[in-house]
Amino acid sequence: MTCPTDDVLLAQLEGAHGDVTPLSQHLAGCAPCQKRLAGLLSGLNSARIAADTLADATPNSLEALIRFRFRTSGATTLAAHRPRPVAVWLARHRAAVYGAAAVAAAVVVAFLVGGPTPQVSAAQVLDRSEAALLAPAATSGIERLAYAIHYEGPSFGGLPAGTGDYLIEALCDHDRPGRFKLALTGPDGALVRGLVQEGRERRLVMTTPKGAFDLRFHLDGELPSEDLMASRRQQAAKTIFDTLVRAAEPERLGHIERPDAHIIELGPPVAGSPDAIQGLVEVEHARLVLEHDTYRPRAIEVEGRLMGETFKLEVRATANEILPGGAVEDEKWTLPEVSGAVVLEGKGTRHPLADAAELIADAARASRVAPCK
Amino acid sequence: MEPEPLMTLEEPERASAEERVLTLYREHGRRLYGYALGLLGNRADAEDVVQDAFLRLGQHLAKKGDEANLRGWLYRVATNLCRDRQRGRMRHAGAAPDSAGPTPTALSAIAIERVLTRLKPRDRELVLLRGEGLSYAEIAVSTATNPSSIGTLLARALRQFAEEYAREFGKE
Repeated sequence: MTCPTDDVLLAQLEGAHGDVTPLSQHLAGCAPCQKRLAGLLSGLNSARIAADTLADATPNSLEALIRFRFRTSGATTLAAHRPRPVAVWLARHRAAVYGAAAVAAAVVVAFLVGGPTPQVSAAQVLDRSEAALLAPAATSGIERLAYAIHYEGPSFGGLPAGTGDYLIEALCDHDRPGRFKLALTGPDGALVRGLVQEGRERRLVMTTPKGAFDLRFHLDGELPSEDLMASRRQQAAKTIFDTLVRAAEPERLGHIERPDAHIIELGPPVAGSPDAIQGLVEVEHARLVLEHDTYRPRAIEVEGRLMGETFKLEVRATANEILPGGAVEDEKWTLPEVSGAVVLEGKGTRHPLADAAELIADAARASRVAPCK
Repeated sequence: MEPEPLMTLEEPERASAEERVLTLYREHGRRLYGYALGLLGNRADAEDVVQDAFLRLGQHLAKKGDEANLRGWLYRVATNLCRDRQRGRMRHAGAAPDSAGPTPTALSAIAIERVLTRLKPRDRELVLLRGEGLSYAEIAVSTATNPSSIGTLLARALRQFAEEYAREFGKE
């Protein structure tokens, strides 16, 4: 018998019916085929492990989300468009370094006063705003965004110092692919978290209750095609629209049109609604202010309970500009050294935070540092 | 494309469809999520795909659609939804890194996601569907592939996956 093809070997592994005696005899005396068979068996086993492992990552909240969507689908444009309970989303993202930064893409605290009855629904306004937020801001020059955050509440992963004023600055050099910076500064003026990349070298600095980490990554292969600023913008869009607003039942949403702004208000939760479920975060009130003509977010305010304690978050944009190339000095593209930080090095991918978590976990396993929660 | 509104159904029909959908979710939902996560490498997108798939299942059931192989039907819909999202990412280069970051306990899943990204999209589908225990016939339907080609294509995909998996996890 000549050496069988891979599909025949695979069929053998899968318990093919029929007379397999000739094949078995061949395999017994053919080392290359034994090796191929072992490779296929390994692939099958790995595929099963992979499927099991990925299934284990399923969030427990998914069933509730499906039920929620099922009940609201088609009720309004808003409800049919991916509602996601606030508690669920924030529980999943609470440790995200840039959770606050994402919220911050909204901006400038405004106020809610009466106005004329709007001609468009909240859902339509939000659709237009989401499209505006996702649109590229620039293709050349240096994009600079800055946000001021005022937070009152318990400390958590995103804002580890708790109550106080934070600043976020984001820079992206559209003329030099792979060059960007994100930095979150805490109430004491010190760097809380920062991410810079220059070509293939990326540095992530993060302070946690377990200590500070200074993580350095080298990116192999092609540079990630994603524009980090676009990614931030998209994350902001998801945060604002999927989480703070679309999470709500339509009856909780209000839309007021003013000459200079659209104001979307998220009212108190309805008893028994998914985002009223006991969770890490319960949003009781949120307000989103959008530029009237461009629908770009200007401000956001959120109030509610975080881990059982009341919290309040206000985000305002302080800068949103495109600077000419070279307008930002080289030292502005770096992060300061953090005293006492554990320095780790590794290979980077397009997922900076995943890389960081893995690098720290590897180091923890090697008993070099405590695991980062 | 959004699923059609379910509110057009009468309440008893809607409630019945909901109960059936949730029952099927409990049976297949976690596996389907794992499949979508493996294809997309992004948790939020995977959640959206699973939600959309089950909403469409509700429509399918409400319209008295074919119920002969609902698992295969779900995987086919999920495969198409994932492909749509992958195409969307290619059109919009800034989309969808999983920037929320993982918990340390999710690292093994992340490592597997990383292995899967090294495969061609179709190989990824084949490996995951076989890992889910779908038959060749179901895989053929889910991926719109000629059934007679599945064995050959799957063998090649599994071999590639085994090599990448070993490289990632340091196994022979």
